[in-house]
Amino acid sequence: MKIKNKKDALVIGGLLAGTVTVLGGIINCLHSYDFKHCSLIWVGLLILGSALYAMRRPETEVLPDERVTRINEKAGYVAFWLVSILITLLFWSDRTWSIGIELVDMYYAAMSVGIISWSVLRWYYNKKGALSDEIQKR
Amino acid sequence: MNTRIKELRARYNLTQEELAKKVGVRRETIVFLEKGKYNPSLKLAHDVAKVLETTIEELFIFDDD
Repeated sequence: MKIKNKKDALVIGGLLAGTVTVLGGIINCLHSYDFKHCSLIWVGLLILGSALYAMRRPETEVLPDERVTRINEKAGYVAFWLVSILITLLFWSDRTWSIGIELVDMYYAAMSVGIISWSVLRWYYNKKGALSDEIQKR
Repeated sequence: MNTRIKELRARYNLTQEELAKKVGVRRETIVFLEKGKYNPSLKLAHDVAKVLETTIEELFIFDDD
């Protein structure tokens, strides 16, 4: 497969990254009996799946453009505030009621909320289409 | 906001895909532009107007009310 345009570079990069991650996951999994260390395989398969999905779509449906950039920025901004509010609430409730939340739990909660909310918000803004509501309402 | 992109695109026999390729955006962006659901940057508005051989004022119609 020759790299003719940005889409090809994106697909080849995804296939390479996916393969390396899967192989890394297999090696990691063979050296450790902990199931958690095998999660890299799933991440790699996800990257491979995304690259194969991108391969099937036309170039103009894959490449990031200004609308996608704006969507990512807005979703990132909202997700950042959600994570900030969550961390504040967790700290506050731990101090008030002495729940005994570990820093690691807080990290996992923040990461999960951040990634999930960013993905959901990206999907929502992509479906919605418009980003400047105030201009639409005029 | 209303646009005349669909009308002008039809005049030049361009598909959404072809127009998207010419201005370097995704096809979905053209779909949202045609529906008036996306406010493009000045550069994108200029690029679309250039491809469709018109001006930005003629392409995008804003209601003053």
